[in-house]
Amino acid sequence: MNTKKAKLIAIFAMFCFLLMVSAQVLSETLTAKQIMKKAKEVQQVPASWSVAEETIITGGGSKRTFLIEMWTKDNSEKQLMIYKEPARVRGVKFLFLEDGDEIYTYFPKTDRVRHLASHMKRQKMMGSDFSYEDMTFGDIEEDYKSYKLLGSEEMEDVDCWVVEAIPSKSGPHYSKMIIRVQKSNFVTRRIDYYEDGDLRKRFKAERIEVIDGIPTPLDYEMKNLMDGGYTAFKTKEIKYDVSPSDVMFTTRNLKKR
Amino acid sequence: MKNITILLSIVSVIALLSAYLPAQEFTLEEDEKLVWSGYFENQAFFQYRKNSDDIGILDYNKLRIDMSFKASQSVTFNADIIFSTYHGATSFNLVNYLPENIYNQIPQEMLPFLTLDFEDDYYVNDAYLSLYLDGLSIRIGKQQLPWGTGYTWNPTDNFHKKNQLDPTYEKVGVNALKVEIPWGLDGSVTAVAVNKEEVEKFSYAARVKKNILGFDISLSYQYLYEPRIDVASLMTNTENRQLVGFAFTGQLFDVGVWGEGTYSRVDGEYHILSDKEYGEYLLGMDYTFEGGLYLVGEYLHRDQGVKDPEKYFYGDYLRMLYGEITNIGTDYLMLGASYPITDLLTIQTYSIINMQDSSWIIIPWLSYDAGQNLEIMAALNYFFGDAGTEYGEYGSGGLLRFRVYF
Repeated sequence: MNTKKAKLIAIFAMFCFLLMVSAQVLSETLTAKQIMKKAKEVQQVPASWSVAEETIITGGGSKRTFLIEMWTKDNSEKQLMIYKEPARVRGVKFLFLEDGDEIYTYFPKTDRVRHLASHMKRQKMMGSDFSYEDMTFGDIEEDYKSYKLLGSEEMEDVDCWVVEAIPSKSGPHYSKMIIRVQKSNFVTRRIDYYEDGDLRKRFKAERIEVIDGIPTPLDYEMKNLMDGGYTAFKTKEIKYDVSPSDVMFTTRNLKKR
Repeated sequence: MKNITILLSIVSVIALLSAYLPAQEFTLEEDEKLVWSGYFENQAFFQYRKNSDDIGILDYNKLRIDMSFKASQSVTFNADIIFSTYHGATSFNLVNYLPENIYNQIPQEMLPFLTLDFEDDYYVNDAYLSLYLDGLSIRIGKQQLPWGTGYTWNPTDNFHKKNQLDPTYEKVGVNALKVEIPWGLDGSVTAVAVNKEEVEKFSYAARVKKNILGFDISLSYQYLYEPRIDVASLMTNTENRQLVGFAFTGQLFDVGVWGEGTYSRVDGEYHILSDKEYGEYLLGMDYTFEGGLYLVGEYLHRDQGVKDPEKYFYGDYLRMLYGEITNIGTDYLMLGASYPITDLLTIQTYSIINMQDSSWIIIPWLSYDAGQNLEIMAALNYFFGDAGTEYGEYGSGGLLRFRVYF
């Protein structure tokens, strides 16, 4: 290798190093709000279809398992959940519109669509540790009155930002949420939910895989730290190259059998 | 009907075993076209019978088999058939539940006809074909038409009979043709032609539904032919009624609110115990507190109700027993509450109050999610009120219900 070539390689290596350092510096200079916006953008896929197995372990140790089909559209502003198994809940549907501001339920037993009033949104969804309001990200601007970057933290060998979010009146009912966002891909890895200063629930996302270029948590769970119960979702199938129609996300369509 | 009993016994054993199986892994079959499902239910009703001063126990087995067939994305067929067997106190003498002053009004020759016998039976509860076309959906056959927003009462639903003691229990379908045209993404125009039981002529109804300022609002018109019992002869006549109705549901601040109402005009001869024109209106509210305590309330006003409790007539009770009217008086209040004691056990109470005569019912209710596909429910019915009031002289009782899904 001649000297000229060696110099060029050295310059290129230095350039790459500087680029990496500057990217790191740039990322460190992101504000808490910018991090949360990016984290939401990662979840905002044009559309998706997935099938997940939901396991609920109650505080008393009882186990219930459900199979759920999920559709999203318009950057997850619209979500449709259809319970497929077991027979007891087969055909139950939940429709989330406007980022979860509007929630509709359909129960085949009564063939009736109900609009969920906002006081119901903090209740457990089908007995799980996820409340209705936990199922959507909400509006970064309107639903949170402040964000604060608390620092960085290694969480299970993953470098994360730690962000404190204080919900506004229109947001979730929690008094505070501590959110850990993975630095390398902006995936939300953990959320600690506080009510009146007490840590009540913990959300964790795991088994992150890149599907169609989108980092996707395939397993996620919500732990109820008050009674020891938890709810785990295991994604069995997921597709992003789908284009569900607008009609699919209407209350009229909920009654389609 | 011995065959039904044997079939029910076999299915109940299989269903009970499957309900106790541990939660299993599921698979989703993408192209499932024909799906069978259903449930087996056992209910034991017990009620105090004042005439014989004892407690009658009626045991009821029910097997519901559901079939869903998807011929294509735009054509589906659904049906459910119900098999039922009754045991124990299968003969109900309705005079056991009437106030003494009402009993004394009944012509003696009518008394033998006031006995209700429960016999083993099977019937098609629903069976309908659905066509989903561009800008139009059509459903034909025996189907549910759950109009209205109320929980206990639905003035705009003149197609089904609702059990006030258990308002969410499934109802028998009605034979109908329904055409629905979407109106934007949050509205629809619906037209139905319904052939009600015991009536030759078809009833017609139309409804326009739209979401306005966060409220789901609907307006309806109904042209009905309905069976009416002649309280002197127990013969059935047909009454022709037109009505306009409205319904809404939404929320004010954090409180869920809903309401519905109808104004009816009877064409031609109208029932001796009714008016030519009358209204029926309902308003409801609910709220859930942080700990999970849920409160619900509904108020019902019926123009055609009897205003003076002293003037209750046996014919009013007969009309209620035949499902022509929901209640006797004019103003009612429903108050309910539920609270999840654990993730699997919920306690509810539910009351209906007749505001004229101050008689009332309270129904405490326990629901237990006993397994992946097993539900157990227990309820008591307590009736309170003076002699001669609507609820005052019913015998208190209760029920125990097991339901296994498959």
